[in-house]
Amino acid sequence: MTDVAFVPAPLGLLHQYRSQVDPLADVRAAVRAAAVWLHDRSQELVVVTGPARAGDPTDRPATPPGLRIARELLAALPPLPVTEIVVGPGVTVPPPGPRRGVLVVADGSARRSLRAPGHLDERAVPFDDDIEAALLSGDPARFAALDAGLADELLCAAVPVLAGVADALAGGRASTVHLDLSADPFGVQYWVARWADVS
Amino acid sequence: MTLALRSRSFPDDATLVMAIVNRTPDSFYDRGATWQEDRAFDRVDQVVAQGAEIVDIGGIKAAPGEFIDEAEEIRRVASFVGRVRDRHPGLVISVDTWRSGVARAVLEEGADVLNDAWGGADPGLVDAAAEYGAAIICTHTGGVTPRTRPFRMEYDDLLAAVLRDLRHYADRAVAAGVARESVVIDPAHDFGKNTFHSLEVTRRLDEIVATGWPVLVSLSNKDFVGEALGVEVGDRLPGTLAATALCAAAGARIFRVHEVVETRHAVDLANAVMGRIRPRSAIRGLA
Repeated sequence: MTDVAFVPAPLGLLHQYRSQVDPLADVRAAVRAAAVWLHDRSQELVVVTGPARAGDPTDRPATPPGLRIARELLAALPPLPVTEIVVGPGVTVPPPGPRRGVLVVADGSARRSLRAPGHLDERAVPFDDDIEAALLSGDPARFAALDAGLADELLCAAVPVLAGVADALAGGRASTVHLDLSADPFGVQYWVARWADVS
Repeated sequence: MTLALRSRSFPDDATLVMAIVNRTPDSFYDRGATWQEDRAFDRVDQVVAQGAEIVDIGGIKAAPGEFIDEAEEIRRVASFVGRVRDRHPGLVISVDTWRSGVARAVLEEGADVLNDAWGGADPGLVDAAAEYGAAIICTHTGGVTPRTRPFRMEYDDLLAAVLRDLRHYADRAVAAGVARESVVIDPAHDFGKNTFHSLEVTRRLDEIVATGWPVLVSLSNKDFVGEALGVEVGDRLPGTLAATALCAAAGARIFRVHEVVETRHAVDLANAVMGRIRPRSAIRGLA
């Protein structure tokens, strides 16, 4: 059995970008709570995220945002062994193990409103609805059916990440699912979700 | 340095907005708008609501004009200070006066700060501040007589004179018994200075900040802004805010102003640019 926590990857969660008034306060609180939940139930952790997508690859930081966010989250908790996976060609997510928690750092589309980073694309909401339904199902196989091409068009980096998780958890199913947060305050879809006892 | 302004203290990274409240019928900018006491009281309420940490109450306009004796100055400001103190217990109250007799009257009513715009013309002012545990703002005026305009003032080395006189005044205040953390210095733009002088103290404000004394700047709508831009009173806010941002970047701590909200924005923007404060709430590109 393993446990999985899904958290989003806005750069605004990083310490270097903190404000006097946190525009992500609700999201941050939910993310922290999920990380604590996963940490408390695990003896080791696997962080799974995708590569950075925006900007010139030669100019952006070497460490993708999802890993940096995870490192800051975990740095606030007692140390555990951590394996970091940046999903890409030839990279696989380790299979589940006893008390091996999986922290998935990924979010939905970024084209959900006129003020969204990618402006409005009317396909964004139904696309995100499919991901949310998969999250609520507790069935990792549902991730494999997501449309990777459309995800690219909607500035969603989550699909390869979720597909990697699906491969690792193939045949499993969560006994309990909690969707702690589903929101798009800036036109980007965030979820904080927890899967307990995937087996 | 921590700033102790009698009733309140502020950490050394705090910037403070001091709102001007005139109890005069003839000040250059507001032209008597708050001469009536209730109007002045409304002005205090307004600037407090806008976020001013300090009000600076004055009973005599700086420019030459009708002679106002000490009794009349006290009549204009002392009871008003008491009324403001009752309404706003946490507000820092400064009084713009050079007279020690007026100072004692307003300190008795609850004032916190003596803003001596005239460079220590009354040597007893520091004693009044010390007696009441008040703060004092020490200005440089080049030794001019209160309520006179500069006439062909020149300095062989302006900054040397400004620094020497400010240090001397600050040291004199401490020697009189004013707490070191209750002494503020102000180069006093336009006072004993032509426009070139005021521009120079703005440009070299970092040298004044480097003395270690907290620095106040009083720039609001002054003649040096008007002459630098060729604009009359009423059209000087953009220039005032530009000078304000420069002084904030240089490290000024207190800004004596007519416009509170605009000043706060200019000061905070400058300090955000300098990396001293965080953006208020940043999500652009970070969602």
